[in-house]
Amino acid sequence: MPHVLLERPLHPAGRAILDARPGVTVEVATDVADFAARATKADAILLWLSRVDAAFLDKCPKLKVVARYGVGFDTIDIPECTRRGLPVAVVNGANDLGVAEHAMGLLLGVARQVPAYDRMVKGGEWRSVDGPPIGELAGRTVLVIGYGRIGTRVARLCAAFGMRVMVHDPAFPTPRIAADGHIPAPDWKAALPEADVVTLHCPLHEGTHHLINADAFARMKKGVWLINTARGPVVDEAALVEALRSGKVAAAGLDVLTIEPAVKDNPLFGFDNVILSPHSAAAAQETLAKMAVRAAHNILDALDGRIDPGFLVNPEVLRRNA
Amino acid sequence: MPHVLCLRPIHPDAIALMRAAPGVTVEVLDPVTPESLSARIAEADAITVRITRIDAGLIAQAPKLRIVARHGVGYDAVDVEALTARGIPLTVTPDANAVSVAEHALMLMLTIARQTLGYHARTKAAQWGFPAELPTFDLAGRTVLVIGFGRIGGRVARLCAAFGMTVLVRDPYVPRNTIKGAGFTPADDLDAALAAADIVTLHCPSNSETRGLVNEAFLKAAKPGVVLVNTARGTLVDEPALASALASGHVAAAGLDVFAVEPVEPGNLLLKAPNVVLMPHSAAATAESMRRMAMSCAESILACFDGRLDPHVVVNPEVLRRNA
Repeated sequence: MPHVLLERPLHPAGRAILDARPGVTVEVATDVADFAARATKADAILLWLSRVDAAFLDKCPKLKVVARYGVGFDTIDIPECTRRGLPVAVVNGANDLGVAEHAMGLLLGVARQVPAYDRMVKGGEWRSVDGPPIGELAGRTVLVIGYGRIGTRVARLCAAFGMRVMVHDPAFPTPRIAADGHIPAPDWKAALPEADVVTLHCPLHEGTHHLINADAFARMKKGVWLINTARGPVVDEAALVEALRSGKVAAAGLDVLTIEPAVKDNPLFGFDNVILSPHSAAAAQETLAKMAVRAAHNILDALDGRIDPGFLVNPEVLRRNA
Repeated sequence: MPHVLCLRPIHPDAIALMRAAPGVTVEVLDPVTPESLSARIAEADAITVRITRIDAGLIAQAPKLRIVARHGVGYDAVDVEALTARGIPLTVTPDANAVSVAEHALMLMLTIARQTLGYHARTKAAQWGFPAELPTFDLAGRTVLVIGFGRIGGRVARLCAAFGMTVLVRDPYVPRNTIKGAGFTPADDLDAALAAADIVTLHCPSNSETRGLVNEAFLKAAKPGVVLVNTARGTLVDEPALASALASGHVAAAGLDVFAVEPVEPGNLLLKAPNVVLMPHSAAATAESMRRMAMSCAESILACFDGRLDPHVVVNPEVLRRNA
């Protein structure tokens, strides 16, 4: 009787798939502590924000799959899971469209300074021509860092707006970036001075932690726009605050922060030219439903021993388990 | 010695272009008041107009006037008949603002789809999570009705298609095969299109045929939960009808760059309506667009002085034939 523990209530589209499986029991934790306590009896866990490390895994002898409701896995000790032969499943393909649209929403919002102008109009201040400077996407150069499922979509959308699109991804062959109609930027630091917009779509790992730091800002064009829908720590927030103060960065759109949930004294909240969202890029109703369906299938497929390795962070465990 | 009077400043590159022409003098009137206008209009061979109303009375005070160059594309504040009667061409800047306005329309759609304003305010207050009252949606898979398939509407339709939307197009002046050929679905039956559309975006001029287009009946025919985007003209919309449709939730949200009266009046019901994103007619106010509009005005004025005005930028081209 496999037992599935959900950290939070799952979107009905996914919950229905779990409930329809005979012999599988499902329960929902009330909070993080409750989740950790109940995980000791679970065959499968579905994670939102909970961290999974060796100490957590030591208490979960029955566990056969660690599933995430999302595509990031920086909250999970992957080598430790792999050592124990535990597959770690993510919902690849479920959120890429929504996150790409969110990045474009932030980019256009930054271009038009939408919160500032909306506040002015609602406050009785009509500044159609002498308000904060606004600009077009068409003709601007964007540097897309990370050309995975999300970055490829963002690059296409930017191209549709008539932007000049440069792409950096060390794991993607440059000829294919060129074949997609974009400009490969294998040396991303050399591309920074050309970019009017920098948008981040890479995972967070040791190599990308504080990728956008004081040195990167120093290389950027004055007046650059920064969009981050990837992970907060990809950007050195202290360096970003400095770059906003100096005017090097003219505006930023951030869906992710170094510390989440947001804390009140984050100095980024003091800038009128920074648009913020609460890691909501993948929170559209359609995306939530798609993610829930994928997560449910990942859990059942893993329990059945037939999960598609494309949804695993550590597919090597399948070969070893075989 | 032709004299150009700019009613409010325009981009310095455009003023420099006109001043560089032999014999042309340029004067910038700022602020534009009835008094300052009366004092200087008689000297003008050409005027550039941003938001000043150009009526028959003003035109009568300008005996030397040879051209009115609108910095923008709308000319509902200009008495075209009075200009035509005098043989004076009215030019607009048709190629200057289409990109900028189309991007603004997409910005309004995405701001609504992503609840940018609500989540921005919550995040600044260190509130996390996704409350039920701030649902977000993807544009992909939604149906948009583009009303008006001109320079701006055509671009908006293409951008919506790039986002994976189903695009319906309504324009009685564009052959349906042109719309189909561009890859979109002609909306012959407005009510049927309104019943199908998740988003309605306006890109038609405001005139006697279109004024008040978005009225109570129009809104009633729209799908419950529809989103309205207006970057065209405020007078296309019956504002009290829209405000009550927003209050009832029949219209889920509206992104409005324009109002029936601008600057928007403090008593305008839309200012207090729920789920609205309001902009100060800034769709074409990007740095790039402002420069293109100014340069287009300058080029039209210099071309007019040289007797080689491009009829494609002239609203009343019949005056060119008559002048010839």
